[in-house]
Amino acid sequence: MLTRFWNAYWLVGLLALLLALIPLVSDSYYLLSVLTLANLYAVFAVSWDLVSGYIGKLSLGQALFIGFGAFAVGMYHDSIGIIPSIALGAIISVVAALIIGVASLKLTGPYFSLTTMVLPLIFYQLTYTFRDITGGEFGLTVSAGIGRQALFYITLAFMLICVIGTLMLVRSRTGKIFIAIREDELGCAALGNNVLYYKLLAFSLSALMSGIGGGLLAIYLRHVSPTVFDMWQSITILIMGIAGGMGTIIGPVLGAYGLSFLTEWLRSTEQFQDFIYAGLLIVFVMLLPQGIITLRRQFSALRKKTDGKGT
Amino acid sequence: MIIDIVIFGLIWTAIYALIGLGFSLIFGVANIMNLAHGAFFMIASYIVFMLTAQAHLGLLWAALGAIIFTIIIAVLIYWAFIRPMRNAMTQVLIITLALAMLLEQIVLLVFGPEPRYVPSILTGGVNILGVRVTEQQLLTFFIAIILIAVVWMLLSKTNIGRIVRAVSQDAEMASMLGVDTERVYMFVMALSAALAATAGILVAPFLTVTPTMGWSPILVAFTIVVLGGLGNIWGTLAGAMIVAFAEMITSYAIHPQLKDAVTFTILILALIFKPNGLFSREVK
Repeated sequence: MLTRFWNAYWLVGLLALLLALIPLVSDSYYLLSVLTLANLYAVFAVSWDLVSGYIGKLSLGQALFIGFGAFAVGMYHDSIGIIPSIALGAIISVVAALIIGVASLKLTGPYFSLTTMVLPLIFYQLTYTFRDITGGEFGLTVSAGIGRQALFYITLAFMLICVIGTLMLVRSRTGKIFIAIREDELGCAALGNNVLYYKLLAFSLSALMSGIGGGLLAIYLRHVSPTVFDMWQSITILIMGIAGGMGTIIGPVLGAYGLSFLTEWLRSTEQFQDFIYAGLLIVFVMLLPQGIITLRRQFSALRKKTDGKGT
Repeated sequence: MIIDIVIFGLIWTAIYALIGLGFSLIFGVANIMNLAHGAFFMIASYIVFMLTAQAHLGLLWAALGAIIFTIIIAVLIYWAFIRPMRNAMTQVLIITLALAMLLEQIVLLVFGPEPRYVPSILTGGVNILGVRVTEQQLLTFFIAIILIAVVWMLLSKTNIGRIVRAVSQDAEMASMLGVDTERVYMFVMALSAALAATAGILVAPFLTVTPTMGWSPILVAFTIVVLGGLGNIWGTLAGAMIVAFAEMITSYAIHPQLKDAVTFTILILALIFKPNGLFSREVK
C-alpha cells in the first residue's frame, strides 16, 4: 500500500527528480513559475496535514503562518537581508504557534477549527488598517534578486526536505503518538504521554514549515499584501489536503500538485475557479472523504465485496 | 457619542441576537455547526434585491418570497448534504463551509461583485436624544425583538417546543418515545434559516449587499454562541449585546475598520478562557 511502506519515499524522490529535470527539458518560464508555486503549496499542504490529519485538529487557518512568514520578509528584507528575514518569519510563526497552541489546542473539534479560521482574519484587518507599516491594500514590494530558476530549485529542495522530514517524523514513535492523540486523546494521556507537548510539537513544526514557505512565497510573488491572510488561502490548502487524503502526508503533496495544475488549466475560466473549488470540496467530502490516495484501497474493497457476493 | 453608541449598540444587539439565535438553535438541537448560516442571510438579501429591483414586486411580497426560498434552500441542503454525515461534526463543518462558498460563488456569478442596494420598508428618520436613526433601523429593532420573543414562546410554551427540547436533550430517547427526530431537525433547520433570512431582509437596506456579506454574521453568530452558551435565549441576548457594544465602541472610538477584528478577538478570548460560555457553572 502506497501510504504505508517505503515506496512513499520512492514516490517523493521520483517526483522531485522529475521536477528537477523539467528545467533541463523545457525552458518555459511559465511552467517553471507554476511549478515553483506548486512546490510551496505542497509544503503548506504537508504542514496542514501534520496538524489536521495526524493530531486530528482540523486547521482552517494555515494562512496565518504563511502571512507571518511573508510579512517578515516584506517588512525586513531591506534592513536585515533576505535569509535573516526568512528566519525571523519562521521564529515569529513558531512563537505564535506556541502561544496559540497552549491556549487553543485543548479545544475540541469545530471550536479549534473556528479559532484557527478567525486568527488570519484578525491579521488581515490589522494589516489593512495599519498601512504605514504594512503598506495597506497595496502591500509591500519584495526584491530579492533571486533568479526564477534558482528559486525553483530552492523551493524544490525545501519541499523535499519538508516532505521527507515529515514522513520520517510521522513514521517514528512520535508519529505513532500523534495518531494515538487523534484517535483517543484521553487514553493517550492515560498511558503517560505528555499530550500537550506532542500537540505543541506538531503545531509548531507545522508553523515552522508554513512560516519559511510564506517567506519564499513573498519572494516568489515579489509582493506582500494583506491577501496572504485571506480565507481562500487557507481553504485552498484545505481542499488540497482533503482531496489528496488527510493523514497520509503523500496525499496532500499530490493534491497540491494536482490542484495547482488544475488551477492553471482552468485559467481561462477564471470566474468559475472558486466555484469549481467549492464544488470539488463538496464532492470529495461526500464521496471520497479519505482522499484520492485511498482510491486503490476503496476499489479493492469494492472488488472484494462483489467477489464475496459472487461466490 | 455615548448616546450614539448606546442607541446603535441596542439596534445591533437585536439584529445579532436574531442571527445568533438561529445558529444556536440548529447547533444546540442537532449538533450541526452550520457555517452556511451566513450564506442564508446573504441569499435572502439578494432575493429581495432581485424581486424588487428586477421583478418589480412589492417589498412585502419580496420579503415573503425571500424567506420561503431561503427555507427551501436550507431544507434541501440539510436533506442532501448534512443528513448523510450528521454524526461526524468535522465533516459537517467542512461541508457547510464548502456550501457557504458555493452559494457565495453562485451569487457572484449571477449578480456580479458590485454592491447592490435594497429599498427600505419605511423611509424617513427620527431623532432620538439628538441621534438620527432611520425608521428602517427602528423597525428592524422591533421586529427582531418580537421575533426573538416569539421563538422563545414557541420553544418554552408550546408542544412543538417541548418536542424540540426533548430531541436536543436526548435524541435517542426522544426517538424511542415516538418522535421523528429527522423531521424535528428539518423543522429546526427551516426555522433557523427563516430567522437568518429575516435578519438579512431587515438589515439589507442599511448595508451594502455584496456576495461576501455572509461571513461577518456567521462569525458573530458563533461568537454569540460561545459567549452565551447553547439554547439559552438570555445567554444569546447577552452575547449579542457584548459583541454589538464592543463593535460600536471600537468603530466610534478607534477605527471603523477594526470592528470585526475586535469581535474575533472576543471570540478567541472567550474560546480560550470560557469555552462553555460566560454563564456556565463550573462542573466540579
